[in-house]
Amino acid sequence: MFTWKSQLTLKKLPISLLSILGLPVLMILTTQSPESWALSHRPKMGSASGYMNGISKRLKPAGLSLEPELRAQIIAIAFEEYQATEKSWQTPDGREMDPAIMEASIQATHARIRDRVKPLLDEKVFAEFVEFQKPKFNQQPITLENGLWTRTSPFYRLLVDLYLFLVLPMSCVRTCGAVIRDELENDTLGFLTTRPIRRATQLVVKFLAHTTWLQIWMLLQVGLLFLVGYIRHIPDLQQLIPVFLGVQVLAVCSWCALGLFLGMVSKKYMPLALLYGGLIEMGIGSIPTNINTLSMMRQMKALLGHNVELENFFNWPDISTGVPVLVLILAVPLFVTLAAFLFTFREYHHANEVQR
Amino acid sequence: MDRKSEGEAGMKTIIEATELNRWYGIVMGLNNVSFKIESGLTGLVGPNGAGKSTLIQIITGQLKPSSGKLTVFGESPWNNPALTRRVGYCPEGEAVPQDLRPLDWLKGLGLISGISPSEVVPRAEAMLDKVGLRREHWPKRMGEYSKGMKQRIKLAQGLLHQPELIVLDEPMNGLDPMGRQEVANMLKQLVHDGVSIIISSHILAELESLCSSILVLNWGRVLASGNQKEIRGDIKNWSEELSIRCNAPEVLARHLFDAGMLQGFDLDPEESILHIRVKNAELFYASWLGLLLGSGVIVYSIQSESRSLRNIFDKVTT
Amino acid sequence: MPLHDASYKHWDGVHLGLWHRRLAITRNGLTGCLQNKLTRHLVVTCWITALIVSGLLFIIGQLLVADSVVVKWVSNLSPQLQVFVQLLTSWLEKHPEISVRTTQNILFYYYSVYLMRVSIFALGMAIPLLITSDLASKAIIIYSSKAVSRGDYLLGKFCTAFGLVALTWFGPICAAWLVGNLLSPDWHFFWHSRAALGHILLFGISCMTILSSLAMGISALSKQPKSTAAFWFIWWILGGVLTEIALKSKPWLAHLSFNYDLEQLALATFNIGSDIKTAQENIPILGDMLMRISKATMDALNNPSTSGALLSLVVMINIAAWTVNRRVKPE
Repeated sequence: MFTWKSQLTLKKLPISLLSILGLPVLMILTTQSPESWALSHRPKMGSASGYMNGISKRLKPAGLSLEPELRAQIIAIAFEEYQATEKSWQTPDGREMDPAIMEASIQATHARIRDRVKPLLDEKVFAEFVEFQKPKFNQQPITLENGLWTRTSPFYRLLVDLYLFLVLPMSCVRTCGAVIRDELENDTLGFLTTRPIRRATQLVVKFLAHTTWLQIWMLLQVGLLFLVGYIRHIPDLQQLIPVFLGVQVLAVCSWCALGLFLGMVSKKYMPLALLYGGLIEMGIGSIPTNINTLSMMRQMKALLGHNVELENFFNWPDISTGVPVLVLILAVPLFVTLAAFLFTFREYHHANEVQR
Repeated sequence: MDRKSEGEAGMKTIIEATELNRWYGIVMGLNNVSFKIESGLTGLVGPNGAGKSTLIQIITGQLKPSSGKLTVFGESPWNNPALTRRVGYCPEGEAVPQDLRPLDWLKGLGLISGISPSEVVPRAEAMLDKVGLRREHWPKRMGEYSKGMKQRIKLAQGLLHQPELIVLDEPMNGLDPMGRQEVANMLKQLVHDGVSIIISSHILAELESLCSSILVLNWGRVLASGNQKEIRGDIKNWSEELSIRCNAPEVLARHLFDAGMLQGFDLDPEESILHIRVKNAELFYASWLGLLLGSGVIVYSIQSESRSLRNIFDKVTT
Repeated sequence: MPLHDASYKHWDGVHLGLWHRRLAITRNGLTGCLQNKLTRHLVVTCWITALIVSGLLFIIGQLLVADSVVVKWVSNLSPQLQVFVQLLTSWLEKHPEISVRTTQNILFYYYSVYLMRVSIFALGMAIPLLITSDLASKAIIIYSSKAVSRGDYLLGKFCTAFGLVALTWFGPICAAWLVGNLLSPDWHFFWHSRAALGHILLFGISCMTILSSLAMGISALSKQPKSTAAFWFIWWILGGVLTEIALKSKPWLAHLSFNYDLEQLALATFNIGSDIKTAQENIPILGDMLMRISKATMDALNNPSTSGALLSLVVMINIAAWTVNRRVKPE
């Protein structure tokens, strides 16, 4: 009650809205719909003005040139023919056209340009024009190259790399690390520790309250992200959602427990968490030995790897389900017990907290 | 200086400290203190940094002694939920949860204290009424409260679970004079109802009329404990001091001096006041009416200066 | 002993001027920032790196001196390396303008970007001490009761941030340039490296101004020291992560990251794309190695998104100024 009621205030509403909507807005901006992706990635003939520049370069060594009006006419012809050809390549369902058909249409396009330009040019110029056009008949369609970057890449990158591996752990550690530290800093811990309830019990109850709050909050957050995925027609979301939600529930519990423990260890629990992240998660977690079991992110990747889309995208190692689940579950009682032990037997003093 | 008063009827020892020490690194918060606090209203007196808050935090189980022993109702308070059920605590400072409303907070604390859900809201409301927080302020969050209102809330939470011992650390801070009077009356009523109270303050005037016994602290040491009369009796070279306003202070001074009553005197001719220090208080009071009448001066007022707590404190700490 | 008059007396001494008072605010602020051990270590580290860069410039300079220790040492190494150094040395002698200018420009570009990141980290730790702590402790009221206006206070605080960044960035880099050229074998090195100095000054001063303004804005956002520091670092980290994604989908989104914008400004100022191209075309062996840089990287180096970066930074600074204006008031 203390946890939840203190979160639901009007003062905190703007920040809460910003934090919950920020990521979905970014996602919707960076992830294209299939239609706009096809539009930006459809094959093109090229640029009409570039075509004209090529002709000019060809004519210059021969001491020939074209009037501005004529140049404009040729550009217009090229533009028109290119547009018509590109339009003919658009398929209703966005699939790529047969390359052989595309090759034939390129040749036909240049033939038509040649036929239309012929009456406008004199013999000498036309001869140079024909020479210029020869290699164009074998040109390939120009496509936007993104390498390994696909339409769904922003979605997965934001969902996994940013949200699951950065935003979620930081939120959990920040929230649960502050369970006692905030009370200490505000000098309100005395109101709780002078109640007839064991310190360990108090700590566990507060942990459960904060974790439950975070589970609901993160569920809302990820719900919005998947909603964006649905709007942007990310394929196979139905298979992804259950796996992802399961991992998230486990992850929130584990990260919260870690945050609780770090908060009991030191008032500088966030730098400690960053150190932990660097050493254990990124350092030890990437070493191919048994010791990388300590890394919670590694276990999460192993569980998420059961989804085919994620496995293909991120190329994660193939590990069984049992060990990761066990590790993530066991992390909770381990860290919570350690935190409770510290809170029971160690003194926490307001004066120490406000000292720099 | 230490007086035992277990012989007095109805008084029992509720707090006992034996060679209690508390260090903060190399700084001594409490320095080898031993004392007993009986039931009733006891004042913890001392300047800032004397060790009052440290002692209170040990009594309420928030700090452990570095060495020595302290018991409350015969038990150690550290990590002792059964004991904290019997103790209420109102800390110093303005800190209260900023984002909660008072009823929500009291309700939560009441539930933690073991009050049943059906009882907790009526009890919380009763407490808020008792401490004088007006109902129109109840819907506001505590971050918007003034210092005095926060102080009342803190009192309310300390009394909520009807403890047997209430520990109040500077409870009058931030209260207006009427508020202080209300709190003082409330505390007297509680004592009358059988609740023991320990109240700490560095404002001696506040405690003077309230407390039957006092514990004087300075530099982490207990300098005196017991009731005011006993402590006065123990102080060497204690002299009774009086201020007499009359029409001829110098005449009165001569007369009392000739009678052999005075240890010393000061004249304040502008205010027409004679300040006297009496050798033997008992003898003086036995014959002072006759002495005053015999002097022939017109006495307007007589005031005792030495019976104030300030005086006791000054004598004890020098 | 005669009695001294201990009663209240009005002080009739000379009052310090306004700039002294502003300097007092700055000095107090800087002292507060340097109370933090980590900040002090960062400052020391930055000056040590300046020594390292100076050393590097010294070594490069010594390649021109036939009987220098460096050349003698190299001659004891493998024959291939010896040949390379001999070629390099002869080329350096023939084209001092290009060799000194290009080398130093590229070196100081990378050094600037490195120090910029360190400065951002140092500012992050100093942010709670700028305006946040004054808001929390209501010190603004105290300041406003003294002979300083709100503008003086803000200027003093701005100079605190600026001073800190000068200690971690501007000072070390200028010192590296100066000492590196002092240790060079020829006074002409100063002349040939004037472009690098110009770029350092231009980029350094503008960036320090931008970062200090942003830091002031973040510092005024909240009374909680942890919140403001966290906001700065989260903006920095998330911005970095987002840039990679944004560049491949919506490039304009990358401008939400101030780090990215400042890097674009660095690229535009130092113009290392043309230096690398010059090096590719002129420097033997090393030029061939530089040819392996991918086309995409060269495009990025040659075509920084300067206008977008400038616009974005201007907007950020305006928002920061608005925040400071709204939050910093005596209550």
